[in-house]
Amino acid sequence: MRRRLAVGRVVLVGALIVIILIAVVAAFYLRKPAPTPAPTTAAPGPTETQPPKPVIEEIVIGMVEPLSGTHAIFGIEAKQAAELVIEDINARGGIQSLGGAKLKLVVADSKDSIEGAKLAAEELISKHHPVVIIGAYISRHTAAMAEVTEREKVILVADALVDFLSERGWKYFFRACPKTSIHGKTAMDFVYETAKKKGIEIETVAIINEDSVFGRYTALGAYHEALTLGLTVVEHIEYPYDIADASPIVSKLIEANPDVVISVPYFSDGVLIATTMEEMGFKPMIVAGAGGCGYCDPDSIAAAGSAVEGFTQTYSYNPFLDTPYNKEIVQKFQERYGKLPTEAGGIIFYSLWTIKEALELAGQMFPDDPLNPDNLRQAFLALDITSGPAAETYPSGHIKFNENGDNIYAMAVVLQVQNGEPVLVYPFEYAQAEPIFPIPGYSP
Amino acid sequence: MRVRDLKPIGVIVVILAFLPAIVRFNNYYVLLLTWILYYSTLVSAWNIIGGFAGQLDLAAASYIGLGAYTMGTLMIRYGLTPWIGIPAGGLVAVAFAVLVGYPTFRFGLREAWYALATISSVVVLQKLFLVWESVGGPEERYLPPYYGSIYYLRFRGYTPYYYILLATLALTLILNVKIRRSKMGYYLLAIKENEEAAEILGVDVRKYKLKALMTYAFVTGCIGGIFALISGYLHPHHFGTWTSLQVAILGIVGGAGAGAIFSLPVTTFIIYSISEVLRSTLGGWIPGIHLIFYGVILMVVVLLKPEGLAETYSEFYGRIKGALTKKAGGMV
Amino acid sequence: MLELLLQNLVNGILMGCVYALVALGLALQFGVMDIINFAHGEFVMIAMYLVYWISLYLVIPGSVTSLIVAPIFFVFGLVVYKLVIDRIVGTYPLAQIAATIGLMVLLRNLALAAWRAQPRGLKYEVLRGSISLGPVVVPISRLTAAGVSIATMLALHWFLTKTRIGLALRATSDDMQAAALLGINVRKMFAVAFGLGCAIIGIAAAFIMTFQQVNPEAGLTWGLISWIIVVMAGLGGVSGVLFSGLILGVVEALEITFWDPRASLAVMYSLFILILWVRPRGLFGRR
Repeated sequence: MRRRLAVGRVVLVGALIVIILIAVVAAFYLRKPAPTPAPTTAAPGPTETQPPKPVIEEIVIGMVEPLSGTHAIFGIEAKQAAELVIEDINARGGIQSLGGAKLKLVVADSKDSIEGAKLAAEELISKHHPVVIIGAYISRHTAAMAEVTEREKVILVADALVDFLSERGWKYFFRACPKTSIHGKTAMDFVYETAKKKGIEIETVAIINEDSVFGRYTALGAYHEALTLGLTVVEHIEYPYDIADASPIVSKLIEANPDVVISVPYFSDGVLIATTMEEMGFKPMIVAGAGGCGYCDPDSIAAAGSAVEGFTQTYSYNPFLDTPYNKEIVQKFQERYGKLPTEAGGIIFYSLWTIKEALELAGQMFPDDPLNPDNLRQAFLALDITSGPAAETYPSGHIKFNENGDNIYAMAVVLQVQNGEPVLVYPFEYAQAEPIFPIPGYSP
Repeated sequence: MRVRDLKPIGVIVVILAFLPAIVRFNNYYVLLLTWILYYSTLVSAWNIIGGFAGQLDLAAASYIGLGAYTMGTLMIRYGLTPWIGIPAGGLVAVAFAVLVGYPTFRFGLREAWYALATISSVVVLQKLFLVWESVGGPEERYLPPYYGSIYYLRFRGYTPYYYILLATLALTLILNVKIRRSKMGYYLLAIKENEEAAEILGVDVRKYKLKALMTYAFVTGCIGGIFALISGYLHPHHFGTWTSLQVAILGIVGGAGAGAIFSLPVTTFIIYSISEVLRSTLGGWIPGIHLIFYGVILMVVVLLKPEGLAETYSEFYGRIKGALTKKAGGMV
Repeated sequence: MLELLLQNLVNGILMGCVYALVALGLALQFGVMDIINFAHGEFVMIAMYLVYWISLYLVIPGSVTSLIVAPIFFVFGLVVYKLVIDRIVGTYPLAQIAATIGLMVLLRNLALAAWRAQPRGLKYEVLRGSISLGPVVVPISRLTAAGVSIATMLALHWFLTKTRIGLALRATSDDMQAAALLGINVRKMFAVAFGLGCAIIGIAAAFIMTFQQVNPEAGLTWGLISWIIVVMAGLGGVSGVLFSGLILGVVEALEITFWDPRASLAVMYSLFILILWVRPRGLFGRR
């Protein structure tokens, strides 16, 4: 009896192993390759593999954004902006060089997580075969998506800011918005040039940032620029964004006694820092924010009140930019959604229009196979946009990509809280008002 | 260990083995299934400490993270194959488990302190790895991309990882069965019933709790290494309290205990799928609806049946088996 | 450097008083019922939201809302007790812990669903500004918060030692069975303890809001701080809680000054584990 059982156990285990091996081998041999957006199957519309010109009726643009979770407000705004712009592009005749092909937007929720972003990208690609995917607002989610898009050869246009995305050597990656180090650099440049304009001497800078990759790279951008400009960085503090008590940080700042402070907050930490500074009576010549989060947005101003008067922040998009198309799209956005578009929406405005320009160019450069990923990539690299809706919504008005996918004319704009309202103060050519420097409350 | 005990494992494994083929190896579905399998394996491992030893361990994320960072760092820095790196990760997890678990297994110290200590450990490790720049730091550390390498266990698609996890699940289930049938299993159940009585009867309570903890930590650490291979990067966020909570909730609702080991993968599958469906459909309007779902089912189960669902499942399973046996004319 | 140290020490002491107050409610509940409420931090978070909304709609300063929130939270505590805690007293330890964990997950995500993730700060508050004591700047809000904490602790101490109900609570905490034999309605004591603990949370929350903000994730930090203090204090009564809070506050302040603000949580929790290793009955336990 025992012997039979012993044999039985061996047999069972052996059978299990054999079955698993068969399944694994079968998996490798029988699997179908995941559908890739091959040139002519990219569009669900009728396309033929025979030359000369494929008839493309519809081009799918994928979008992955956090529609749930902490960052949902940004993701939802991005989606709203995308819907508006796609409608606009289609209303104006779609992609002319491709016979008026219309764009179709398909949005997937990244669920505010890395796995979610990856899943969303896979889902979009396997079900809808987009030519381009925009996303995913959060840099590490975008990086996870890029793994998928690089493998499947789908162009990824990122609306995420951290530098490393364009340093990974990805071929099918482009980013129109200014990266984090540019934000930091812009903040520092703004402070320096404003001081120079007002004839005020500044020597020392303190930099504080929330401790994520985002905060760090933005701060580093400011840091390097400070050194380049010949300033001394007297203090650099990194802190967790969910910090409950900012007084240790502010006391360190008081001790270091800098002329100006560059701060990269996440959101609520910004309010906390501002109110703590006010509480403890610390006011440098200016607190210049960088990175597009906190200080100058309506919620921060409401929460911090007079504590943020005079504070500035850099943004990848400026809703008050005085160009015809920008005014038009901002008004349409306000009419439809009842609010002003911010970073999240603005980046989508110019990114989508850039994609449109790239598609147009691809149609001209490669009439036989415009949607082939490599051809489309060439079109992106060949772009040099100085006019049109893309340029009119972009801070510097000029978009041209380098090999890494970054815009070499990337720039951020600076807004300042004046009398409780955010006002554009930099670049000086487009400024709505003079920057206030030093900010109210400063005493040497 | 009898053949009879292994049969359910066999059935489960065979069914799961053919799932990828059923979804035609579509990357999206395979990835989804891989995550479900990942959680099933974690929960089965958790059963050793949560089900057998009755300790509410919330440190799964700590062990996963440690396993991930160990395997990953060894691969990134020294090009070490995960075949060695994964068990190494398991060992690191064990070391940490002993550090946190040892003082809390003192007789008389409340189980609640164990739960608190373990969930705190997740946060501590996250912060530590955030500050530890040379190994961690706020930036993601990407594993070197080898495509299609068995030596480095890195592949282009997700299907190979699915099968790796499946093998791990099978091994974990076998481990569960082995423990149940062994001396350790009986002692653990006695300890879970009444620690005082067990101690009086001469059971070395601390030793067996530690053994259970170390086994569970090792397996979970190894799973962490596999997780890093699938995600492709290392980051302090891998130490996430929600993962620990999710594993514990899935374990409790799934029937943690010696009674129904095989119910765990099944219930994990069901609950996870429901939560994903909730998230896709209602998640837009009600953010976090799937998380609320977890909270609700946990409270419902615990308030209605504080003794746990293990008995219920095993009864249910027994009834099914009975019905099938009758149909087969008693030949099964 | 000395000035920085002094400033941080003062901060640490003031914060320590506040930490102690937040932990006080938990200590009371734990002392009497022997149940660790995993959702404690989430209670604090909900109370803070309550303070925010009441302050916003009634247009009153946050600190004043404490008078309204405390009684509301007392009732809240009674309700939670009846629905959840009462059912798990005396059952399997795993079930007890799991129930409050479920409560924690539920509350955190309900808050997230209802109020979204963006943090809220008080709009109306009178306690602004600061006073200077030599080189040290002391924000009035913190000073008041610390003051209220100490006052509340003194009041609780008086209540526990000089009133009948207080004595009954202490009796129940010391020995449940003996107390029952003496005719004390143990279940009622539990309810009172739980409600009172929650009321204290309400007071604490109001004053915390005067210098901080709330978001749905805030619960975890407050919860963990409270548990650490409860472990440290053992069953040492109100004074044990106060001293533990002060120790924690000072340790945090020192850590931030000399090491890294990002690691402050890590240091605190390591302290927690250390105490479990070395003195699991707490530093100030009576027995």
